[in-house]
Amino acid sequence: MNPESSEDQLDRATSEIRADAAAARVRAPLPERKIVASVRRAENDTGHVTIAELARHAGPTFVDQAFRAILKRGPDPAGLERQMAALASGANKIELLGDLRYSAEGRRAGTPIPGLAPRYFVAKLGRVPLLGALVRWIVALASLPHILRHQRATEASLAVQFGELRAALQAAEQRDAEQREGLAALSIAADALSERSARLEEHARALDATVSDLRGLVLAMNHWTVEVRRSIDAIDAAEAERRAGEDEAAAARIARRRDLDTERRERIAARAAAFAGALPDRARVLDLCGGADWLAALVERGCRVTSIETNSALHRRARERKLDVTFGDPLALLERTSDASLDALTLDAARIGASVPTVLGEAQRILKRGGILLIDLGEGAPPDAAALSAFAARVPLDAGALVFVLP
Amino acid sequence: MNIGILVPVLGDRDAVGADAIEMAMALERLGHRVRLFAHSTLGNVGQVAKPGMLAEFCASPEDLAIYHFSIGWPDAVPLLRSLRCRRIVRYHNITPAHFFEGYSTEYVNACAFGRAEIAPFAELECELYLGDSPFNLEDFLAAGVARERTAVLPPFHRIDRLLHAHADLALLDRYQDGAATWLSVGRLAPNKGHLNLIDAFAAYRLAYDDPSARLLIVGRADPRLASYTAAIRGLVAQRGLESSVHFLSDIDEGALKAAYLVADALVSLSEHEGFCVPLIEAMALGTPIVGYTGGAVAWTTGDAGVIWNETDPYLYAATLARLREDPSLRHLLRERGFRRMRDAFSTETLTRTLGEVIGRFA
Repeated sequence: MNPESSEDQLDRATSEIRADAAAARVRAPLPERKIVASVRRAENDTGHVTIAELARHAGPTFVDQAFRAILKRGPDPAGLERQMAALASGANKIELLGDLRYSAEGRRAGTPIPGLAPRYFVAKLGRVPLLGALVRWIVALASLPHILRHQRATEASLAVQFGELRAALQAAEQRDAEQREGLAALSIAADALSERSARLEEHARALDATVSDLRGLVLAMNHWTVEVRRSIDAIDAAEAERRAGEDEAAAARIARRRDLDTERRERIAARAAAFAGALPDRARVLDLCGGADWLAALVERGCRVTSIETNSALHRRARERKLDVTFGDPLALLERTSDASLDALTLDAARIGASVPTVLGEAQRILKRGGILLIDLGEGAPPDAAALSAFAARVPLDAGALVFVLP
Repeated sequence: MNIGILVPVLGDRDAVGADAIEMAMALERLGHRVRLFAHSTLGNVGQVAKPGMLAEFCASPEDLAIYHFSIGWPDAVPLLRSLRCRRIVRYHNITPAHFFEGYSTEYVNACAFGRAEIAPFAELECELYLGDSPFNLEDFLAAGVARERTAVLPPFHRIDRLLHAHADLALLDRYQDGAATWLSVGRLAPNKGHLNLIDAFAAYRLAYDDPSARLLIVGRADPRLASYTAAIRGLVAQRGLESSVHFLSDIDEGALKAAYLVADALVSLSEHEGFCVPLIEAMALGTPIVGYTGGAVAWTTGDAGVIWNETDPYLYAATLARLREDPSLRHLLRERGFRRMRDAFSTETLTRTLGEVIGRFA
């Protein structure tokens, strides 16, 4: 088959558009224009209207236009109903126009309608008993040529309308056939869609099974994770218990040694007195593992002391004595302490152990100028001279403690 | 050869002014010495001489005077009669007075006066009567001018400027929402058929149940035709279309371009057009044309639009509905529009035709 030329395409489109327009006209008739006529009339307002202008309308439009032209207002509901009833009972338009024009309101409006008066008179004469019948016959006979012309015009108009209706009917039939074809195509498409839907359902079921398996796996993994976490917690608890036991043992050893040292209490009191005497009032002091007794002695002498303890048992006992002691890593505490913020630093060399050189390095940073460093030697060895090179003087406070001053 | 181009009122924004100015430039490109003459000017039109200087500029019998005839001007006939050179009457058409009856006595008188000058111009037996379209020449043929003294030259235009203008983004954003969009371009004058256009648009909304459809009416309202503008707005109100009919007045080239781009079609129900430049603007921008064969509309559109011989509103409603749902028809009209614009109305084509016309006087 030859492809349609562009000329043929446009011809076909215009034919179809014309048929569509005819159907649209029947489907959705446009109300008659009103406002434009009145605007144009206002421009040329000669005041009069003609019978032909008014009579070309029909039904409610005729009544509306007659009211507006003659009485200069729209019809009230009662007036519209009355005039429509009169038209329905066979009254002619001349009679209705005359009734409006020669009513009291119409006479006041005074709209000129050329030729209305004699025709209205004849129409009214037709209402007179007996004489009216004769008048109607005479009028009918006189109007016969006009009626015949009107009838022929009506026939022609009806033929045109019949043609348009036939065209509209053919267009409707064509659309009906097209719609049937469309429905058949839709049915085929629906079948295809249904088949596709079934395949999709099958895929969905398979996907559902996979999801179910995955959910089982996730639950199993979750169960396993919980078990692992419990095991780790148990290990952590055992480790903490072991450390606590070690701390208890170490604390017991320290306590036994101190119990054996009968001069310890006096020595600490004397050391604290001498040490505090070298410090300003309310001096800020940091103590590293010096023990609850040393801490309490400094507090008694007006020092503001913060202490850190690495043994949980000793820490608990110091806290029981309402002393300001934290549990943790001394080096971490030193790192968090600001530069030149302390008047003194005290430490137990035996307890700090291998970390002493690092502590001394930090001490240079956190002590104020003229700040004091006290090292309790206890059973430990004095630190290397190199680690203490930044400090100006070494002052033996007593047999067990050395004091250094930051220049 | 000296060529004087005479226009009663030369404006830089109207179609007659554009034709005169662009024609002058084309003639200069063809190697002639050209000068513009005008009684008065509007806007920026460059160097223009007074009509009294025309006889001096076109003093030789070999020279040529081209008079652009679009309004009545009592000085024109005596001036052309006094010239020794050859004369061309470039006729852009004058709207018949009856279109303005009931709207403006001033327009009725002006149009009647202008059309009354057709006969005296015909009696001058100028060397050529040059119409924008075959439709325009009918007035002079009816006045007794011999057909061999006539020729058709479509008006020069500035559509290249429209093509290169940036489309107004605000207008594009406002209207590019997929709703059916009808476009009308032309000043608000009774011969332009706005009342029939509104009825056609109302029929479309009613018959095709499309409440989102809109009609863009691009064109200036003339204060002297206030009653016509009132009639348009009255009909819009009667049809309940106040929110659907958008009046765009005094818009720039960018906004005009955007209006063409968003429109489903340029719809013209104009009853009298001497040429109708908006039709070729639509062709250049790929906007399908739907129109009533009023005046020269059918000739200008050629095969590039759907043209009806009736003003039946449902024909236009059905055409727009069809265009909305038939992409192949839209494509066909666009392609034909581009081709007709290129073959018949491009500046190169017009210059070539002008050269052939002027060649008669070589």
